[in-house]
Amino acid sequence: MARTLIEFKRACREESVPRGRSRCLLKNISLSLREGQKLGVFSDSSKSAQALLECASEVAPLQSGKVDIRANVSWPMPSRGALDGVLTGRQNAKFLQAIYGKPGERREEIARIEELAALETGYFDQPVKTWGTQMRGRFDVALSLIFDFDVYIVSKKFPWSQSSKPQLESLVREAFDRRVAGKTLLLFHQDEEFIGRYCDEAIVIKKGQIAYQGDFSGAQKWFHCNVSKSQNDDDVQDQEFEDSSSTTVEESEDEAQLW
Amino acid sequence: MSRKIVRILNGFALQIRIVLALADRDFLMRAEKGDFGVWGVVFEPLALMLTLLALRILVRVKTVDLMNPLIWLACGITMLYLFRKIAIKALTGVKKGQRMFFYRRIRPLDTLLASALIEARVHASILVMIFVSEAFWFWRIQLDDPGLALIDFLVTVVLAIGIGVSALVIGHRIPIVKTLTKFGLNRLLLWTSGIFFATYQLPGPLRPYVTWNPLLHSVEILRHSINNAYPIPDISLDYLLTCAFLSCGFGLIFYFSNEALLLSDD
Repeated sequence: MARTLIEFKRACREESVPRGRSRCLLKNISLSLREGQKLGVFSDSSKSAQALLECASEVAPLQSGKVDIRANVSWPMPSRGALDGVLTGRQNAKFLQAIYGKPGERREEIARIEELAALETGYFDQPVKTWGTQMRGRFDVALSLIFDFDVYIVSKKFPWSQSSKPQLESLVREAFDRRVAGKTLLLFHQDEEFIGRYCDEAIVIKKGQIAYQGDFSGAQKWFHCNVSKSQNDDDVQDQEFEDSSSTTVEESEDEAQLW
Repeated sequence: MSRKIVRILNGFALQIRIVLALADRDFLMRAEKGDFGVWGVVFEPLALMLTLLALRILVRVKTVDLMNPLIWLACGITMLYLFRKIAIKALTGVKKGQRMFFYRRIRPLDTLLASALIEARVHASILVMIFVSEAFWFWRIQLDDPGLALIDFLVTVVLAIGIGVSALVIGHRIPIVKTLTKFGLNRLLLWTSGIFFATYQLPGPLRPYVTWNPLLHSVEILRHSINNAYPIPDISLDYLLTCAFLSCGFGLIFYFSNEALLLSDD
């Protein structure tokens, strides 16, 4: 029987909203992610799905409950994380390679990051703060796809379709295919085709709770019948809470054209 | 059994890699943010210490005949700065390094060890620079017991980490402990660590008022390791070792039982 790699036990997560209020993103979530399982996430609120991914990768703490992690789990790909703009791309890549890379393959992995990020000539040795938004985005994607994890957590920012540059799109898809083959996957994305291509199982989160869990097509059907119609109301509610200043182009949570 | 040992060794090797990577990153960040680049990381604290040394020598500090006053003062000031910086960074470093915990493999202790490693490297370089400069100036080298000097230096680093981590964890529960530790590190240590006096010159009945301070033992042992004729009454390496390992042991026990609290509260 496959090993359980991530286990949510009655996990609750809240977020603070203006005027001292708080809103529940995850409510009593109990979920197990087994070795080799590929689980897609449908949700009525992208914040709840993002909270699930962040708790699974231990980036965000819980208000109550517990998440047991028994594997090497990625950060929600392709988040920027703690990379510093003062340092060059190479210095940042070296730092992450030392932590997540293979000790004997430093040079190869850094060269692969440089290739996958497809930066303009000379930019890899310039401070990251001097780069454009798209270059930074590509660099984040490249960093996410180089290291070997037991569990890959993929967020909706992942640039799955890059129609303007099919050559680079296939490079990313190839790297992604190679990475997730035989690995455990937790995936949330707007592109249902992307989820369906990789996940054989899925969950539906409605009002912070798991409302449905089963095979992908069943979950997709359930989501469209019971959730997606009412989703617009929740999105409006989401918008009310969001601080308008925080939605800059650079930090936009949606998938962006990076090439 | 052997698989368990291999797993422990792999975990240990990974932690060393993480600490070294964090130390390199911290060093590069300081170099990028400072005015003099990589050299500035060493020269900025060196300049501060040389100013203090020059001031003390100008006002003709009462010193000893057994050692060059520059080396005698440098031993005290360098060890004090080393101890203070490591302990204060251990106290405040978790909050500052919070961003790094985005990567699951990096734990708060790794960031503290990384900053201790940088401070140890910087202050060891400063000591070596001052020592080599003095050796060239007088064309004579005196380091009677290099092994003792090295052990003393390393034990002081362990002591600073231990005191800093203990105060950090206890300070999380009782905030006044953090304030008192900062006061102790910034004020009390300067006047009780033998920076401006030698223990053997103090009258016997006064010594117990300063020999409780393990940093005094560290400073005096370093001076003794340079010239074995330098007397160190009531000073012992055993006391320094006991304080270092007790504080580090307690600090690590407190840390491991409160790690989650440190991550979530800050």
